[in-house]
Amino acid sequence: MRSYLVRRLLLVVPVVWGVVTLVFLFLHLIPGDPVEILLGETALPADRESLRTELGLDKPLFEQYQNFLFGILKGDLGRSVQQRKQVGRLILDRYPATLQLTGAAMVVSIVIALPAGILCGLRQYSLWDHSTMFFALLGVSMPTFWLGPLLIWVFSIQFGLLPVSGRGGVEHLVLPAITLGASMAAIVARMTRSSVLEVLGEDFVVAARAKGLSEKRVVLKHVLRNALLPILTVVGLQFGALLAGSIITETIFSWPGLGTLTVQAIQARDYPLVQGCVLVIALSYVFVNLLTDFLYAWIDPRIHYDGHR
Amino acid sequence: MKSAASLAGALMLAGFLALSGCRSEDLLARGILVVGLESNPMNLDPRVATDAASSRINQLIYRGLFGKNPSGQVVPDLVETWEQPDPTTYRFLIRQGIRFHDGRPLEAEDVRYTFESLLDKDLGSPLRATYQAIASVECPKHDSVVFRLRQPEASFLANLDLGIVPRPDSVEQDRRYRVHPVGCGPFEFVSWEQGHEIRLLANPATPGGPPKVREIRFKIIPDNTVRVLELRKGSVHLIQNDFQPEVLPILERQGRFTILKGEGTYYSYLGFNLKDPILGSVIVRQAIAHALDREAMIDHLLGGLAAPATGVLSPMNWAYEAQVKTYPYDPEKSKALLDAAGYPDPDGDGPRKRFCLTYKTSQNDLRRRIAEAIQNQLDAVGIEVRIRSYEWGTFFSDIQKQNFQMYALTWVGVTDPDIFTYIFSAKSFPPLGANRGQYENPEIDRLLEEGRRTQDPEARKRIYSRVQKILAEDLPYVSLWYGMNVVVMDRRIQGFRGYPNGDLISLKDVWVH
Repeated sequence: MRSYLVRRLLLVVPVVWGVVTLVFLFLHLIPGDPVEILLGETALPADRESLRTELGLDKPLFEQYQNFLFGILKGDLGRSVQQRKQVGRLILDRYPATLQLTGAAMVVSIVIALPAGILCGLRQYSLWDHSTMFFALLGVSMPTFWLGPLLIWVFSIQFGLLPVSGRGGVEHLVLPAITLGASMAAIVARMTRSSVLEVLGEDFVVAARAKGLSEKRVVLKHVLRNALLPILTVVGLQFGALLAGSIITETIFSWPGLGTLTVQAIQARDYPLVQGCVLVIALSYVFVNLLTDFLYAWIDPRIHYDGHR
Repeated sequence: MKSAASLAGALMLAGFLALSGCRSEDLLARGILVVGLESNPMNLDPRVATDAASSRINQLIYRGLFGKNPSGQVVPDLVETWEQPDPTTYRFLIRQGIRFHDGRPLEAEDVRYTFESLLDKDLGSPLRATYQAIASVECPKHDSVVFRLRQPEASFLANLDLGIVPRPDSVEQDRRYRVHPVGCGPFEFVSWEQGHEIRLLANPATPGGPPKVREIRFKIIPDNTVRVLELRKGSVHLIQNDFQPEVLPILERQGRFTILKGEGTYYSYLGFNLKDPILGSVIVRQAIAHALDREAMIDHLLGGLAAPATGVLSPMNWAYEAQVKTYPYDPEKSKALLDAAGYPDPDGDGPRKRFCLTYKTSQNDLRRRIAEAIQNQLDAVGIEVRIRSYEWGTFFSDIQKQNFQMYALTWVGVTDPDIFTYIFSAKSFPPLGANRGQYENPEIDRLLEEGRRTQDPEARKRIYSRVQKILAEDLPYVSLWYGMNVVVMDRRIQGFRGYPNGDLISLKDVWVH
């Protein structure tokens, strides 16, 4: 396990390097000059050149790239072009909000999807199964930019139960988490149903029932544990989708997270801030996938990562 | 399984009941006014901020030597009296008894520091170009300031609405001021939660009495629909302009809101690349102008919240010239002009078009709908239009690099006619200015230079009258409309006056009924 951990951690480096390099290249390829956007058309040419020099934009592209990589190694993500603050500070101010929203969305989707999917698998073709799968289809079809305002209209305006937008107490988290987690819940519910149905057909389940174990014990101890692996894969992969989807949800609910910061940075061609945000998002995604792999080993004792079973 | 379902049902009911207690409190009744903003302010340092959101908040935190009244006229603010002994010298006597929010008295040295630091390259202020005419700022006494300019500049006073910042006594204090802005305005800065909210408290030491509203919160809500929903719920009390026009009738029917509609200085126009072989012809541009039914677009796309425009300056501007050539909607005349310009319709009523133009716009929903309407109207006279909408950075880059044929944008906050120099002078091709279409007219350049140097208001008015007439003939822009300034607010708010350029300074005078 230790050697696997070391191998996976070493693999993080080329993966993250690849992502930030691609983003660096794309940022510099797309039209738009951060100096022009920041200073506008009223600035003096001398001020434009001065800012360009200050930001290192007058250097050759390779040198800018080199400085950027060395900065990361030193833990310095640079200064935001637009906000003139340290990128690290800006990200630290916003990242917890994104983590909170993404985490809540994941919890909401798992809490809804797992029990629903298990029941669907246990009661295949029942009314519960059909209606749950119908709602799963709705959940995966409804875009967040539509679902969000709809939930606001119903729960905030009509019933007056919840705030419309913004970040605050738990009540502020409910609608954004449901909006963001709905699609993931739909996917996880369907995956759980399929996985449970597949395991239910296995010989060891038949054997467990033949031994006289209660249905509850068969499901919780034998079926569920074996059905969890594919579900875990989907959950881990969906984290990336949640991070991407959080941009739209954050915009709708005025949630001050990393998603909206990234979009604003891209619009302003704030190169250091975009690169910093992408680095953090890439690292988050890689970390979650690593965690998923370790959870595999914990759930299934047959899995060994040091090369033998 | 039945017990699990019962438990789930009980939990949901408990959650529902718990959430029903989460009603939003009535902040307005407590004297807290919440304003909904579309975008995040960039910087609360008035020497650096250029975006509208920052500027409007800064007007409440800081005061300038001069300000502007609701008619757009320049009026003294921190200045008690002033004189201009010669065209390049201005002497100001600063009002006494004004204090910054940290208790320090405002002195002439603070004024000097504000402008000298702005002009310092190290600050990197985008506003340096606006004040580059200043040669020196002197303080002969603690309450008087003398500005000396390099050359006469008629618009100088209009630019002295810049917020005055306190001169720091130390590096540490300067650092504190950057994190916690300090001004001498009617509201003092409390906190700024990035991407969420800015809070200001009424300044108890405001001359003439503190504002009647205890606190103002600027809540950043990027989504148009959600911003209006916040207004409906009562968690936002005032929105200015940042909503879709079709929402206004719905809000009017609510009966809970006061809606103020006033003339605005938002000038929307169609810009052309005058180096383009087709659009370089003034006859083609005139034909395009006649092909546009602006009244229909105003009625159906803008909900009637605009008035047809004739030029960059709105009718509220002191230098506005009404007697300029106009281009009423006349598709037949448009077709005749296109024929005369050498672009006949190749197949009469058939599908082939005279020529094709590319129309670039941003991704703003309203702007795209306007683009579609213009496309439709130009199609009726035989011009094919391809719409290309881009995210702002790409769009702005393209128009600055003259990588366009047509585009539509809006000038906001036009007050002094010297803006014509910035937009139409041959010295203002990007990146030196905003003459993106590369319009060139030596007569215009001569008049603009003269207008900049002339101090007499009547003489300036005559000069800019001539400028407006020439521009109406040459049509580097086709004027579309002047957007109105529309404010929707909780009807308990009293005393608010909308400013044509969207300023929110009137918030210092409001009270809650």
